[in-house]
Amino acid sequence: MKKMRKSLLALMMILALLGSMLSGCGSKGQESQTPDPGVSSGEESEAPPSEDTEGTTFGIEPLEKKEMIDLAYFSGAEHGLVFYIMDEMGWAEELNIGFNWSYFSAGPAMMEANGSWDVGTAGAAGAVNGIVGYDVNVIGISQYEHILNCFVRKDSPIYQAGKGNVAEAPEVYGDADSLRGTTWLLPVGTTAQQTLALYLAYFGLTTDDVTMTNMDVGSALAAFRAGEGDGMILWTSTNVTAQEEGYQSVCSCDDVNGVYSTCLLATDNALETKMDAVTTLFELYYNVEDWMMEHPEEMADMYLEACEVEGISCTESSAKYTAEVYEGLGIEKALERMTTYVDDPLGLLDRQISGGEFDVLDTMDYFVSLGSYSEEDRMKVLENNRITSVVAEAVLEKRN
Amino acid sequence: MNGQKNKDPLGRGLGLSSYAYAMLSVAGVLCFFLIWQLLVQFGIVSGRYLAKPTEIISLFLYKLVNANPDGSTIPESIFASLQVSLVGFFLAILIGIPTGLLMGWYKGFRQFVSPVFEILRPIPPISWIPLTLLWLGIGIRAKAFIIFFAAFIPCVINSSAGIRQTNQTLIHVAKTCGASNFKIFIKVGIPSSLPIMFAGIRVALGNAWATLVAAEMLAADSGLGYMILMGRNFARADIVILGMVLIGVLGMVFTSTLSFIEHRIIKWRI
Repeated sequence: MKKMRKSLLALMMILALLGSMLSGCGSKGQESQTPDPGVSSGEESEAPPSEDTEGTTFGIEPLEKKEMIDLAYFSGAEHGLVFYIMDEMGWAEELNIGFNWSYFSAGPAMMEANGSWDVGTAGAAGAVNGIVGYDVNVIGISQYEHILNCFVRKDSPIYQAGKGNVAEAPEVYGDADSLRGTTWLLPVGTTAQQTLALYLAYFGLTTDDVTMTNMDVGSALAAFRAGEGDGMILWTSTNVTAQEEGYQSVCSCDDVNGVYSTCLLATDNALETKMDAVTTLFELYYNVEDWMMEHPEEMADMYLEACEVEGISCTESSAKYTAEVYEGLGIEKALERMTTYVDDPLGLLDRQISGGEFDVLDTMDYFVSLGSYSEEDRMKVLENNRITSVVAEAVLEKRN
Repeated sequence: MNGQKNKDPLGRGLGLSSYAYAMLSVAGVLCFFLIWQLLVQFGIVSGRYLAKPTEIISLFLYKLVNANPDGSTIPESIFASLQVSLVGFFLAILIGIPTGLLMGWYKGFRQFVSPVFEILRPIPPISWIPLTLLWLGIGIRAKAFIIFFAAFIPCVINSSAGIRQTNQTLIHVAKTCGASNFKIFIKVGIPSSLPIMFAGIRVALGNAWATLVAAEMLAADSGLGYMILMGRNFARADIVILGMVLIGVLGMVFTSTLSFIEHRIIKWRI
């Protein structure tokens, strides 16, 4: 009997140990929640308010009570890095903002999960997906992408054809013959496809003249290494890795004059129920961007650290390069972009559109031209103010 | 469809004619679509997230000849997917069934192969994607390999289990008649394993279709899985649903075809 009790006790201890191990294993899926310890998720809790704006790093007025923001964090992207930095540096906390983190590696998944987050960032194509199909709003332009290149191998006929064949883009390599019939590995339906289309257009070609194979950038690089495809289109850290591995960039997003904006997003629910917190976070976000541009070395260190934490391949040199070419808008430009107005480039709307709308429509109009979205989708986005200046205006009002 | 009443030997069922039973199946499908239509029509489920069946039918007709928004018409997508899934599926049958039969009949072979098979068995097919990319690139071979792996396992398991359940009396009779072990394997073992083997093939077919989307996630420029992914990229729930419905309907057609073949081949057993 005693022996049996001992066995039972041992079994219970093993089960308890297993249970604690399992509960300790954080979910590493596409979406995971990491609540801030000591603060109940999604609820306000009492916290000592900061005394005034003088006491905060960027002179932003803190929230009266601590507010939790459900954050859609885009792993490995500079637009997501801003949140990582504000959290690591304690700048969000000093404004009484806490985060419940959800990690995403692709825009569509982030948009589908819009019911579980308040604020997030995504590339223009992901943002368009969200504003067309879900209750997501673009509240600001986060940055303009510069790390997006078309790569080939050095023995490729495209590279061998040399550059300077296009007067308006002297840095672009290739000619119509070398490009026609080639296979490109890229995430289809994104700004990578837009870049390829603009690149081909220089030579009178369209994407119908080549084969586009849909792959995420990591898989595209792996397949390209294995000898697949004639070219690949990459962004962020994989882009820098490709450069380091000796692949030749034959065209960049700057060469095709694409406006590749990334966007700061908020859900309808967040704008309705957490407007103060979203406004404060907006101010902080762009102030951190200013800090990042003023401190490229620190930004590079933080980027490398964030990549290591998230398990994204990145080297010191690629982090340094990312920081060097980073072009966030910063607070003044971000406010200006959302509150200055220009004519609709397609002339379809009976009002002027904000700079933010103009930037997002640059990508959306390309996909409308392909038939991926309709003109009705475009009109619906604009009529429903899915690219909204409401937060930028609230910040300006607060300042005055 | 002879209209005759089906009499179940155990007295189960309604005792309706086969025509009436067929109509019941049709009614079941129609009810399903009607409930779906009404749920969306009356706003119980948002039309943004679930397109109505009538909209799916319109989209199907549109996409029969139009490539937008994913870049391929439905016949092109179906053809691309069929190529991938059938290559993987038939390879799984060609390799999996003989392997399973040999494992079931020859103990030495089973002891030799089983440990490796048991290690491979629980590995999810999609976890092969990164290695497949390196080994086989991104062409049809790579995608077919992932589908092959999904279909291979049930083929092996069922054919092995099927042949091991061969009636011992039949084996003894064959032995008494002077048949060699190999002849018994061919003439007695394989035929008696057919019903369970076919059940395995049916599971394999289901797995092959179920893995299609994952295989086309690896890399694709057309196909039903690709169509679903593009629908997702452009926030088009209707495209996603249409892709799913087509995979489901094609899967059903293949399962029915397989059942027909099974009935023809093992008529003696039924």
